[in-house]
Amino acid sequence: MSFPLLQVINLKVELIRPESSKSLLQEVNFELRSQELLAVIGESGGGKSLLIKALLKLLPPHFKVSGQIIYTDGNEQPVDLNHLSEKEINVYRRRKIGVLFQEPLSGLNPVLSCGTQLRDAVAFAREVSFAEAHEIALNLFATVGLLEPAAIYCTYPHQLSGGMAQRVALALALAGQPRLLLIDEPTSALDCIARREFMDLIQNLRQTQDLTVFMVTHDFANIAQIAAKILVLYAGLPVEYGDADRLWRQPHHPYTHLLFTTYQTLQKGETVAPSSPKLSDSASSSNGCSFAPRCPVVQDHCYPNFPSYQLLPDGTRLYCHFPLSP
Amino acid sequence: MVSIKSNLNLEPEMNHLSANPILQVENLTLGYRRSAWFGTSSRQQLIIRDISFAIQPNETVALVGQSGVGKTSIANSILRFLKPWHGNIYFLGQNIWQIPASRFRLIRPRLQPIFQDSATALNPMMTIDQAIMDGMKHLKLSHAEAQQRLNELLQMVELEPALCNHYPRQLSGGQRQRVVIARALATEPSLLILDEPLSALDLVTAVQIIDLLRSMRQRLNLSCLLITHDLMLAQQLADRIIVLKDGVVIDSGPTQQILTNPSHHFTRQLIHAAGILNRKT
Repeated sequence: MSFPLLQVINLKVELIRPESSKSLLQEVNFELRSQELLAVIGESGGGKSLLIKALLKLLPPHFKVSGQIIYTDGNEQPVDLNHLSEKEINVYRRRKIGVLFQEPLSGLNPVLSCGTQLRDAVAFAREVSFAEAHEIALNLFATVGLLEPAAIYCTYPHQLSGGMAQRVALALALAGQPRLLLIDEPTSALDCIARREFMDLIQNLRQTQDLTVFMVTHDFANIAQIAAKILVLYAGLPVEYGDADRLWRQPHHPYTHLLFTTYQTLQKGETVAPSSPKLSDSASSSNGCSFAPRCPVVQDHCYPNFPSYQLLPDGTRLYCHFPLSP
Repeated sequence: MVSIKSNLNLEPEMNHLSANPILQVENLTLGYRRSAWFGTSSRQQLIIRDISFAIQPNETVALVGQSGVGKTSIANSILRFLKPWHGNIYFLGQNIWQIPASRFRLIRPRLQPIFQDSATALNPMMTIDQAIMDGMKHLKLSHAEAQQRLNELLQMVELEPALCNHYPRQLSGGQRQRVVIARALATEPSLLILDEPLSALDLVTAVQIIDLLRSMRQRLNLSCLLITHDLMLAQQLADRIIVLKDGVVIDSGPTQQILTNPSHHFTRQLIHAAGILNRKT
């Protein structure tokens, strides 16, 4: 029976400066049930990676994070991660929530062999001896699909291909047997075959390791296959959130529509006309809808007014004055 | 537009291009040699084995294959960064590994690479206008001519002139990639080498850059060598596709033919993995 493992309520991230503050993420609300995969999509600079860091309280002190991040593990009492001390959240970072960042090699120590790094991480996270950790590390390498675990154990990060490095980083993220895995653009550095293999692996791990996955991605070819829900971020606002299949078939927000139709046109090999105006003009407007300068159905009302929250009958939540109708 | 071809002072034979390919690669074999180091023995690794292809004027050819297959090594060899073990590379009729470096420097401006990571391709200490004008230095344009050309290039790549005084770190990924394209176009190149030009960009920005490259190609009569693992991108930009696997060409032909009727199962695998017309029901 799936239960809400993670609930994010009114999350807001602000950059605090001496003279002013700037809102980088706002009104972020979503729920992630056990074994589900939530895909977060949107433009570069839209706040996707920032959201992952906010969930783990990894942002430096000049970022103010408000709102609730409720983590519930089975029978345990729900905990608001945002209000835990550094010492308390370290337990969650170590044992309950794994994270995999975009560039796997930047997360690996270049002067230690992959096996040593994983063994140390396992020994620390699971509080076992090095001998036990060694065995667990070999099993983890096999779990993430590395064919010769003993050989990989002695390999240094610079000797790995991109796909192998990504798998080693994934093994490290799984060192503490987490229930929740946060992944930031895992496939952007991989070729399309390695990308497909990696997504298949994540799908497999969800089922065999009882993993719940929160994934930031640009990989439309694969999210359509494996995501249960999609959260679309644009300029720090979750403009649309809902069931993946429904969003794919019938996006309501013009930005989601633009993304999906662009991808589908590319799939068919047809010529894609870029959205207008061009990127340089798309700086977010101060009060109104950030997408207004590029929106194909924009009206005068959109420029000065912050987009209104709407809960549609199909369960989709969106921020738009004029959502697209079916 | 300020023309720079006259300033290049090319030998007459270099300009006889109409009937000849812009780039011709003949029996190219590439590899790396690692010297003995701290007790390790020296090693040789063969990357590319005996491949040949040509790029005609105003043609875009895509080199497609998995990471590590040697696509970028081919580009490095064409740019005279990596010496071939065997074979010849002719650019504008010149065998680039046979001519002296001083002569190669004359044709080098006509050969411009655009790499994947625009953040590392630009000097962080230079503003955008300095970066673009730096590419024109050897053309010995007057300040007014250089300024005029800068404005034309910014307009061409659809960048606001107000961004001229910005540093690369102040721009988005898409804007930086436009600057890199403007800098490459500053020398009126004959051949652009596009090495994974979109892999660091999100979908909407990628489509804008595809549109820009397509219009540049038509407007400036450019030839392009597109290096990518993304068949969807190759489909958008390339006239012909060459598929590489294990250092050899396993499939090649017009784009539509490769995508609709691939002769090798690996090409079919690539098409499937790229998600071309692939969607769960």
